[in-house]
Amino acid sequence: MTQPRLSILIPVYNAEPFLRECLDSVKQQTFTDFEAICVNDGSTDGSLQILKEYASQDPRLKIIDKANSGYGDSLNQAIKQAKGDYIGIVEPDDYIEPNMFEVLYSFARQTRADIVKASFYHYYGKTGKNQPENMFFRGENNQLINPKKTQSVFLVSPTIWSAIYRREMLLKNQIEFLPTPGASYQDIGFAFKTFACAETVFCSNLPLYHYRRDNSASSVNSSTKIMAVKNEFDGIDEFLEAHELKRQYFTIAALCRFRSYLWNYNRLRRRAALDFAETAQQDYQKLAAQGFKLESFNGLERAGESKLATKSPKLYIYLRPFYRLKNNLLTILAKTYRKIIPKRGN
Amino acid sequence: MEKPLVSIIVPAYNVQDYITDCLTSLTLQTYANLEIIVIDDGSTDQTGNICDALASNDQRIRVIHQQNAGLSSARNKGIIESKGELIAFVDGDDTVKPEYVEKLVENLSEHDDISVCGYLEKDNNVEKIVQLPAVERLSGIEATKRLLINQENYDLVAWNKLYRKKLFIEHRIEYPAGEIHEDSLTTYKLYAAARQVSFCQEPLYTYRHRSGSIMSETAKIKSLEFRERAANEAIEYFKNNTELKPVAEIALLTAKFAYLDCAIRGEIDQKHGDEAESWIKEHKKAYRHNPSLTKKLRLYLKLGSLYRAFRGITN
Repeated sequence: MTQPRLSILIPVYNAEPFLRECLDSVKQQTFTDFEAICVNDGSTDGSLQILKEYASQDPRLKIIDKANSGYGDSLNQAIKQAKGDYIGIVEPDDYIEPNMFEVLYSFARQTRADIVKASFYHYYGKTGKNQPENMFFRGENNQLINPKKTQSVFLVSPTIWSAIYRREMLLKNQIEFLPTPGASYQDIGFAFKTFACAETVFCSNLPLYHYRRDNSASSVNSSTKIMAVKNEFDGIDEFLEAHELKRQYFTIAALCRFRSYLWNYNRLRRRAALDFAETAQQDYQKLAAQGFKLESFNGLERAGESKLATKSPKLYIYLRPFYRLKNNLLTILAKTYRKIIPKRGN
Repeated sequence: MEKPLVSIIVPAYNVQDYITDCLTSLTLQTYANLEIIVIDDGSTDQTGNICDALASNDQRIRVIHQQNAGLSSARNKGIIESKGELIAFVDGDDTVKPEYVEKLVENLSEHDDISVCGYLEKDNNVEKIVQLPAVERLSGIEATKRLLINQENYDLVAWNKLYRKKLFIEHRIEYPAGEIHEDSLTTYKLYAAARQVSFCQEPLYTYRHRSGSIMSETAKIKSLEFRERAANEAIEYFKNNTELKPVAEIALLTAKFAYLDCAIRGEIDQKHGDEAESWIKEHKKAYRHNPSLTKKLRLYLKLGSLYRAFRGITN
């Protein structure tokens, strides 16, 4: 029996509420030559029963049933079992367009890219609303890019789904998720490492994946785990060092780190944010000593704010309300401008 | 070198399993100055939705949904809607290499009006290269002669070619509505209208074989009838063209021999074969003076009723 061209990896932990919707959307893919490896990470709800039910009806679905060890370890095990030329990840809260993998694979086959990355919808299950994310700039959309040359791709939000990755590239470069327990931003490390090791990435603004935003159980809504973000970026720095990629990617890795910290300062309560600011300050000093310059933010969105937040995070946190106000005003202005003068398309 | 706007016309009818690969292969074209006009010919499957979704992320793609009117009508609509000075056709269930447009444009020099490339024929997952003869360029007339006499697919089909749009407009050439094999009824007119036709060996287009490989008898007869009809139309089309009318008449002669050959092979009934044989006998004398009569055809005509025996030996 020949190996499937695609392995779809689904890490399942207590995903009962939306799991059927997810699995249905995978089963109904117009691209049929896949194996779906569902890793049950020691769920305590009815997830495993649902997986078994689907697997009994569709031989493409395989189950790895194991004790709880976290999102990262679950995906690492799935990657080890995968046999497809390409792998893709689908999270059990979300669902995918019926032609998602057909489109991704079509571009992969013709461009021979190491990664094909597409965009997504912000999905609000309660209202049924789908808001498309405009992921790539004009210079990247529908382009086969070399991440070493077009480093702006690292700055898109590190989503690892709505994409397929050449499995050989993952193995050759020993790209793995950090085995941190639970769901702890392990996508940050994976997204960066895969882009850093890819020779070519095909980028598409097509929204092919429905990312559920109004799931209260989702870890993004948790105010803890900020240290997990730091761990991911430390992991990235170690990886770059070990693979002799530091020279090319040192600056962009630092930019991604501090931008992520900035995002977190705005997400956390003031106390938690100030606590983290200590660590963040040390990170900046360490990287500055290695040659990181604040000027690297020039030309990026919110450059001034980023520089302040990086150099003096505590001060930034105190000034947070003013930046929030400023950014909200700018957003309102932009929306008003757009209503008066509509966009001419991408 | 200037880069004129190229319009790619994609007629699509119920090709939901193939249209994604087709449109992604067009999005990946290395030639930038492109517009892609998809004519959804009243598809009843997901073709229309898929085209709209893919078009939403590529501003060069425009989708027109029309009521079902056939392949010819879809192509003609595409010609009307096109803004480019150069036109190419890509069928909705086929794909092209990323350099398809770029190479065809590169190969179209100042005095060429049509640029042709080789292609791959895909049957299930088996790909076969269809190569063009190794000639770089022919005059429009020479190309028309080759098409009419040899009846090779690479000359007949509409889609491995880049045309200057003015050929369609100035000579009022359209694809005939409601027809299959519409290419056979049209491409010869375009060759004849062209000053020069250039040829590029590289297989840049992948054609997906649509029907089963073995034709039923009825289908075979229809195909032969069509070939005969195409030849008669060409004779009419070139009635005032002293150079090409005899060539069209040769096309009719070879069409008649095709009936006979199929009957001899048992692929169709003997009645059609007998009818063709008597037609050939009747017109034998007239063909002796045809300047385009090839040595081979001259011999076949000379054989007369011995032709059957000859075919029996050589088959």
